[in-house]
Amino acid sequence: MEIPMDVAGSKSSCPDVSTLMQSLQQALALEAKFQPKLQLPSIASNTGESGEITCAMRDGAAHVLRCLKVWYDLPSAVLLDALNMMDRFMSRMKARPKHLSCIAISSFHLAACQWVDRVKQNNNEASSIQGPLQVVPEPQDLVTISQCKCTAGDINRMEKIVEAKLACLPQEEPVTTLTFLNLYHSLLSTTLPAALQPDLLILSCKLETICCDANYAAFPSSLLAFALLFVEMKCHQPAIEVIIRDVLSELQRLVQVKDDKLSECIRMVSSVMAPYDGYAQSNPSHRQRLTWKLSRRTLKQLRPTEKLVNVLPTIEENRQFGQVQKRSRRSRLTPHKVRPVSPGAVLSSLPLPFPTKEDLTSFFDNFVATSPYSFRFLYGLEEESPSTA
Amino acid sequence: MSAGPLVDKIDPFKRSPKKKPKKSQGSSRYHSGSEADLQPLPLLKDVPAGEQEELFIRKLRQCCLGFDFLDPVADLKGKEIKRASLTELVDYITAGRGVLTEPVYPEIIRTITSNLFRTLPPSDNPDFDPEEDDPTLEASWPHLQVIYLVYEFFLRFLESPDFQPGIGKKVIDQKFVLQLLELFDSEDPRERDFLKTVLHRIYGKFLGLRAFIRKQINNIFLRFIYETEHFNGVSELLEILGSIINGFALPLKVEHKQFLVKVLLPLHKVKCLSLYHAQLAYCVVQFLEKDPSLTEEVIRGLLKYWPKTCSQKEVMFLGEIEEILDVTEPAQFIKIQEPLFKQISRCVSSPHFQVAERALYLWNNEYVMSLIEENSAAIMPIMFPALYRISKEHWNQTIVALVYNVLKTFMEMNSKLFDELTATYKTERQKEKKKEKERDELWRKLAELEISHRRREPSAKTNAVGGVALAKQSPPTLK
Repeated sequence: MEIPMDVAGSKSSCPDVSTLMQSLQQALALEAKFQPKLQLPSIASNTGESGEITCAMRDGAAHVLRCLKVWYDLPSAVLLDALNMMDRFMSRMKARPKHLSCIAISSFHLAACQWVDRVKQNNNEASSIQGPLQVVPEPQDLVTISQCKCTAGDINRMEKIVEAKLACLPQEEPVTTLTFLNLYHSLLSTTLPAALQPDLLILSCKLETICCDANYAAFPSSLLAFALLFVEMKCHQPAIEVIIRDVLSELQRLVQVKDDKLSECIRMVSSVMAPYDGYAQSNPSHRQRLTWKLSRRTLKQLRPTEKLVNVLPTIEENRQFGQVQKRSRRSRLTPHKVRPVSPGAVLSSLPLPFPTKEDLTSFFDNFVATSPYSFRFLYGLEEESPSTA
Repeated sequence: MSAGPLVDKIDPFKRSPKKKPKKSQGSSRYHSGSEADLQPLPLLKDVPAGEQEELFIRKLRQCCLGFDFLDPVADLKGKEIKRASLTELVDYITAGRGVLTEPVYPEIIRTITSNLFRTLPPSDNPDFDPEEDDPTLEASWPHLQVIYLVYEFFLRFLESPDFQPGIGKKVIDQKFVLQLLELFDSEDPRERDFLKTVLHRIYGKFLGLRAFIRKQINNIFLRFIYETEHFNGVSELLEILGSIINGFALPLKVEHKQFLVKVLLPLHKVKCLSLYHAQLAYCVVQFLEKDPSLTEEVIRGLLKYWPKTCSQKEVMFLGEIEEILDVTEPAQFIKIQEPLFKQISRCVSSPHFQVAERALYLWNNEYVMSLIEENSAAIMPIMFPALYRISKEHWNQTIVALVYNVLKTFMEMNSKLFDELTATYKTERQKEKKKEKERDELWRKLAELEISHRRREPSAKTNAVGGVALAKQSPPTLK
């Protein structure tokens, strides 16, 4: 079970309530500094070079980062930090769509580097985390895997730009919704029995999903984390429900969350969570257009029936060949290549490979010059140029 | 059969001073008759219509004579006459109307029989690899020219609008067909191509012979699969079968379904599958288009014959699976998805990069993707562990990139399930690591025990702990 890290760097399994309260107040104070103010249009006003980054594009990039996080076995914190940096950057700079992937990947790399540095600093905790988590993925590797159209050099340069623009201090961890979620979870674990405590890992996944939707930026991080808790901790028996409600309202008072803002936020969270919990497919506009690169050898031999250029005309069962009036059934198989000839055709009009008399005589006249085993015209093989699919 | 040396009537065993001519490598039969037999006959077009039939038959009989083509200078005139005759006859049949009278049929068949039906020579190269080597063609090229002309002639005969199956069936009988089928083992691909078209027409026109032909083809295939694994004409026969399958009436007869299961599927297990895989796959897919309920049996059959050691064949099988999936209905897909994707996940994990590549490329097929999407809850858990493991371990970067594509596709398909599977996989991995650690710890303790034991009693026999000492070198790690 991944042990969550909070700002103070102490394990939440043995929480000290006063320390947690202190951390909470610190986080609330820093909240505004790290709040992204995304103002992305929902539809592209101008496509192409001079266009703007839309919400859908941003969400698509966020999903790519989410997949990368799983790919490199990194914790939720890295993803949330990356999204936070990316969104704050785009709040300040009007970026063009062609730079979006570069911004996203560099934010991700930056977040990963910072996280690893922080982990190394907290040496006691480092031993509890297994090996691969401490390795930061190389920019070249990131570029290749994510299929973004930039180079490792671009990533490095963009990273410096982002760092400069956001005035990041290396030791300063951004205060994101995850920060608040961890704090709330720790606080709840001090008051609620273990059975009622929500699973932090599942909550983190849900939080990731919410943050992949651009609308999350409209709400302060503390509110968002609380709304998620509110929605998730609903499904219990009425007697227990009362206890939970009490605890949550206490938390609400602590964090100073207003009711009307809360209900608005809850609506947003529910609308994002509903398809997720329903095991639904993601929005088509968020899907990445992937390139499938294959080796030459495999490309030459994809489907066995590719080699069939012509097939013999169909012989209907119970009917004599040549008596069939209608055209023979076209196979669904490579319809553009396989063309059954209608029966009854005169021999000379049959397409290759059947040779005509002229073919035969010329073949034998030329056989000395050419190879006796020249098979290409029989099976219509062509030189194939290797290509990516 | 050479013109033998003169035999001494007094001493039949006297050795001939003449050196024995070299044994013929080709199957050319020839006739050592007098050249007087092959007088040039007038052209058919120069003869009045009433005499054409008789002249036609005479020419046909002339063409029954064979020649020694190994010796290029022997009987030059005769060979040329025969070749010209055949060329003329081909034109005559194609252009003329009413030339196919009843007496002509047996003559034509006799010409064909004498020219074509021969025992095929044994292969010069028994280790002939059809993909690598060129086939050894007939020793003499002019002989081939004649043979091809005869085939063409036969085809035009069958194709002629005047051809009447009612008369033809008297001369084209089961014996004739049997001999024709034997010729399919010829090493000459052009000859096989002719034979393919010829047999196709015969099957098409003679309904009475169809069952016999199917049965004989079955026999050939079964002998090929279970006894010899050698037959050159499998792909041509399969092409003919493809056109037959395409014309099956519904509902399919039991005989046909049995043919699919007992003959077509086992054909997949032969070593030289690459020679005829295209045609075989075409046949299988045609069957499934006719009767989708056969899908389950076909896929299970393929999984049964799945190649375990030959990676080239595995790639072919994967290509065939994709073609089959292209025509699989969703209701059928559900029946086979589990065993199929278990096999695919094994292919994806294969260290042979072509196999893994081809298996991963299935996800680029839109229709297959839609089938997977509908059943993602069943398929993702099967594929996930293999994919996740390979993303870290595979040596080939192309494969790793393709795995990313597939994982990303899965994430887009069903993110909640994806998250659940990731979490499950991680917890399982951690459990495994914990167990490994415990095991290492146990070995370490045992080793310490052994050292302390030795220190206390240095003279004691170390046999009892010898086993432990040896094993200390390499504690077993369960992968």
